Amino acid sequence: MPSIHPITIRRLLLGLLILLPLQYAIAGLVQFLSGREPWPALVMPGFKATWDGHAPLLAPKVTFIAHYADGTSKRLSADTVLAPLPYSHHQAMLAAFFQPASLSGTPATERVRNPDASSWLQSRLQALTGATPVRVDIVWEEIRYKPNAFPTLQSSPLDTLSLSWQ
Amino acid sequence: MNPKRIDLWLFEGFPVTAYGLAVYRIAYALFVLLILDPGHSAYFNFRPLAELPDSFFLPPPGPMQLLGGFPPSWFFNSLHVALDLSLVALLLGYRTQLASWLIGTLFLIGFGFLFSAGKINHVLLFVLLPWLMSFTNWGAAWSLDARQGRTRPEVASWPLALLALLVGFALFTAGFTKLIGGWLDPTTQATQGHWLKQYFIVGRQDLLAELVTYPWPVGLWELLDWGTVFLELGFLPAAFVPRAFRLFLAGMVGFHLSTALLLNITFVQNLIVYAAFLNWNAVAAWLKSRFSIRVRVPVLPLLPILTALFYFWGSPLRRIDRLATFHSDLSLLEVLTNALGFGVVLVLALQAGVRRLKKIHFPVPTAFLYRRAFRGLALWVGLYALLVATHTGEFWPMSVFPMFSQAGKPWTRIVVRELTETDSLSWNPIEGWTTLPGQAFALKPTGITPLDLTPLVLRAQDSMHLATLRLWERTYFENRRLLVLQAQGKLSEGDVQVTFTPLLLLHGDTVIWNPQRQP
Repeated sequence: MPSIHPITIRRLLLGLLILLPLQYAIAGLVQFLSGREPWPALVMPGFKATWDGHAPLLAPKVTFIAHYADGTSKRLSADTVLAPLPYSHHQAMLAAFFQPASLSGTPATERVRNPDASSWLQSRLQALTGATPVRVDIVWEEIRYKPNAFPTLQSSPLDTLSLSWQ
Repeated sequence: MNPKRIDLWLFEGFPVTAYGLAVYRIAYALFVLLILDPGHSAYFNFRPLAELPDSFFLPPPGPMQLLGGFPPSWFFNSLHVALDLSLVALLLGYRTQLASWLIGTLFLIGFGFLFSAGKINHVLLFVLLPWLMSFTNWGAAWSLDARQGRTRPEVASWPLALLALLVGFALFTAGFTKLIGGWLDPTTQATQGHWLKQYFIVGRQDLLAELVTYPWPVGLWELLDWGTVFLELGFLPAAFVPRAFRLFLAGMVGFHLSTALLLNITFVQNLIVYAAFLNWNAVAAWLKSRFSIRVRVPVLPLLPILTALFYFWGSPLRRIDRLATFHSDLSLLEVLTNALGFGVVLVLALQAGVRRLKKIHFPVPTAFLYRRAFRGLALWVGLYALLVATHTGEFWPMSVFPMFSQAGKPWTRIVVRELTETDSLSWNPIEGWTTLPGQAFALKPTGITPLDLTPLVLRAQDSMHLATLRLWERTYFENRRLLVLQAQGKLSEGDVQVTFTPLLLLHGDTVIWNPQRQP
């Protein structure tokens, strides 16, 4: 590679000094308008949320209950079902593809109902349990951590998304 | 800023040599192949995406939205072959410029598809690194390109200045988000909130994560909030002051180790980006002074051989992960890499400290110091021996012989029994092993350690529910019926008498406490 003239390098620096804040602003604007972060963009995770020390900390817990033709059923954690994908993806995937519309406010989060996704889930459960399920209940609960309370950890049911293959 | 000072920073702020860059090039390629292990580790393996249905293709705003779904397996297999080939080529310094650009491009494509499955991880610095480093001419020495006369000997340092700017800006964005999010508000505890959520709700409970349940003073939490924000915000101005920038990088390496140990989250790929600013020139000079590096055998045949080895078998270092299993998605190799990174920082800090001390002359009264140290140590050991000999107790950091210091004293442990549907439940204390209901429930195969259940005895509120949660997960998913008992032993007329008190019963999704023992 031929050496680059210093003037070109200075221009490159100037371009970066303009481009970096610009792309940051665009990324913020896109996120504000679409609710989704663009890629590629040079931003790091902010973990913006704070905590007042008293309010309960909440997070969803998702369990897959596979039902079989002989009447038996088996529970699987969401992390087990989504194990081939990175752990950091699991919550986001559950929210985007496996979440009942009653919780998200849009049927777009029930993509698992699409024929290709439904078939993938059935194959995945079959591979994990060794038997072909005839139905699956995707149970959404809310885990709530309340400091200075008993019990400190609480779980309450939210909704269930069911798929039938019969 | 003064244009001359900008030029000084841009062209001379981060001096490089051909050999220093060569060592970093080799370190980078080895780091990616051995630690990140593309095609085999969870976060750098794009193959599982081929199995996903197109309904799960949810590309983020950007160029990935031009595509309609996940490519087939052959695409990702080809991508990993090309990636391994490029990395090995970079390692050997074969067609270094092309290899550098291919690595960046292939990672960009692979991550583009990975992040089209609903979640973005922030790895762009890592992706941009080989592109930027290609402009330094990092293949100028200790490379096949140099041996075959395919490269010029000149190297450039300005890409490192631009990399510093990119690192500074990227970390600034993290700090800025925290700043406007209210992390500096003294009435909020952001670090504590995130840590508690990771610990109790997400289930990241390995290594030192349990420290979050300790009653730390509010001031410490506030210090962590402020420290994090200032560390990240400070990166941008520090990028223009090389010495300050290196100090911030050292702080960031410590920050990554602490997030691995405390929050069980690793971001190991950034370490090799920060490592670009190590003094590789000194490492190369040291290597050249110690070893005569002259490779006489043909190296090019290694390219397909190493590519095939890494493609089919991955990194041999990944075997280290088998030595430890974690509740979270931590990898032992990544934790050790973080620790190694911090170790390098400590050694460099020590070296700098020693260099500075050597410049100062201290009139040290050596004999006096030795005498004081000896007396202090004698007092320490004497006190410890006295406490252990009288079974009174012991103290940190020498508390390693409880069997001596606690001999003959009453003890308390936790026992778990698995009950069948027909076993009756009584909360009354039980004397002796023989009349215990159900079968013994082995904790070790479940990954729960006896230490996890100690809080049940101590009645520590937060940890107690964590302990029950871990057991509850077993009963919930495996439909078991588990009875947790407190075993209390004491010496009685020369014999050991053990009393078992039922504490709680876990069945399905239900936890029933002994009415007498409920916290």
